[in-house]
Amino acid sequence: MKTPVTLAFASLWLVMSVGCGSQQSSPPIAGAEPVLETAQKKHGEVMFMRNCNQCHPGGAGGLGPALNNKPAPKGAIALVIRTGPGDMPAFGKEELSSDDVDAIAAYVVALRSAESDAQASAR
Amino acid sequence: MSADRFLLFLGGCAAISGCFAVVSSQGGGEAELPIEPRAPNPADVAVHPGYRIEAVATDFTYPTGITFDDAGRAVIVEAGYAYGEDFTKARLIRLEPSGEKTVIAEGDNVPWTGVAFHRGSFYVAEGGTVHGGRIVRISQQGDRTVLVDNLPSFGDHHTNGPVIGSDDYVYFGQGTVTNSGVVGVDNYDFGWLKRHPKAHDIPCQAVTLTGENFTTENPFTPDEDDEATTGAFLPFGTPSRPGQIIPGQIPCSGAVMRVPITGGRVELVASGFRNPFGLRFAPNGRLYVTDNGYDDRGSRPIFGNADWLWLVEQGRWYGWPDYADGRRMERKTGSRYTPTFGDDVHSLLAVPPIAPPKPAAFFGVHSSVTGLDFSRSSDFGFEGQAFVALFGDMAANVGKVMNPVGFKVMRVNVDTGVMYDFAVNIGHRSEPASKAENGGLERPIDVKFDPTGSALYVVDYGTLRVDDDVTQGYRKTGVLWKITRQ
Repeated sequence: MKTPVTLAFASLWLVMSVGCGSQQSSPPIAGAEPVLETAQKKHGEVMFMRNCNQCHPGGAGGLGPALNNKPAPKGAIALVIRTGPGDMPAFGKEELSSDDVDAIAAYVVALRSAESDAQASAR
Repeated sequence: MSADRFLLFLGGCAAISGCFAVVSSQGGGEAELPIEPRAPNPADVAVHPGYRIEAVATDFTYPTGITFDDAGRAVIVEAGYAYGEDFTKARLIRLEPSGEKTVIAEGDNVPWTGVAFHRGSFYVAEGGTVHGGRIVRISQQGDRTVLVDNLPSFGDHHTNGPVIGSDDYVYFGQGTVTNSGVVGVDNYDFGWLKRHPKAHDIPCQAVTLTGENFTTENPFTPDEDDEATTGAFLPFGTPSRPGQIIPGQIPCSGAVMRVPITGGRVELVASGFRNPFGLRFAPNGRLYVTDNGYDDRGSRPIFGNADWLWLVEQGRWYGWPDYADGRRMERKTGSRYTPTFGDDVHSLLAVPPIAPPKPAAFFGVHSSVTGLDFSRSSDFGFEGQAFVALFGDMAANVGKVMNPVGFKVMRVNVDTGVMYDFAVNIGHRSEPASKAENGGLERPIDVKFDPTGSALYVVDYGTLRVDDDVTQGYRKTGVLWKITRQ
């Protein structure tokens, strides 16, 4: 049985190892565009470009870490957007509505899938 | 303290300080030495499916722009200068169908940053880091006419562009002298402050200062303890006072301006840019400009702002030096633009102009967005979309990054700001050929469709290595690429 402290450490280690990984797992492939079959994901793409792209260009690493190799669920993505861990700014409701945040999270997951698909087809 | 609690403490510290604070910079210019001779290889570049890329000319020295003459021949401008204070001759070079290069004109008012062709003449932006910026008209025989001179180009950024409007004006960009309004030791380290110790930014309209001052070491004196205090829009070592008014004048810093193609009075189009580099009219006649965001350096470092594409509106102010990304940087609760271990960002202008608009597109921090062009042909596709060159980061001199940023060509929907890679090196990161040690793109700096609209030419500046305080350009490494539909 793990102690709460050990579990907490394991969680922190997971966050750090996932969040600080500087190398994207999938090569940048021109034309690897996500399939955005819903209006929410299309809205998420636009909001991502306006608010997230500068530090995570195209979902890859840049000023901030890569997102396209992080298996984070939508809820975790939304939490990060709202809380802004480390040097990342927190995006409050005056900047991004709950719908905006949900849309960005859905887009990031779609982006990750597109990178994986492109990577698979490139093999 | 038990082992697991100690580890928890360490993990907590790391989490609180954030990843950015604990990793070293991984900029694209921070390549390992020695730099291998350049051997362009299209197979190392991924382009959008259905397109192909080829290298059509090599061995340029610091090429920065391209246009086409009335015979459809590519004409390339070489800067004659690289950051790191490497001076050589600027040249206007015609690429003959045989592949030979013909020098049309050359000069020493470097860096030449761009070229346009209109009614039988070339229009060149002479960056003017030594003699001041100029817009000149050059005939196809090389005869030269100065349309405007004495532009404030002695600092970090230069005179850029140009592009010709349907109104027969030459539109051009003028970069700011400094990073964020204050002359500092970073400018001395760049080299230009030694040449022009009185240079400073010039506002386009009168501004009232908050009186923010910045005290640094004084590199002009041998005494290591000597300090200098400098205010905004003032020479190094000159402090400002609250309420001090700095008169505006034109030409000015950080602006898009225009001058008739026959020469004459310079007119202000829009202001509040930082380094408005690439200008193009969209097919709908609207003017767009690329702009490089602030750096995390100097007396007033700014963290985490994007590079931008702006839709230029007549008379509008775009935010420099107090806004970034369309947001006011100063906040009561602390600015998101405050560097990791730096001072908070305070406004320099006591009375800011009307708030700026939002950018048309946001590019990666330090990606150095440069030239752009719009597709106008179904032969190439993506009509109405912008194709934008990203020169790539100059980290760590401009600030730290966790991955290389830029070094590619992007396709941008200017209505939504959505962008995708169009040409980018194959590999695990978007990094230049010199860092990836392959034959791909190095630093794309301009893009231009040929007169048929079916081929996109990409000017690749070549290798520029950045390491600690040293920036070094590599001559004869510039390449002209061509992208066509398969």
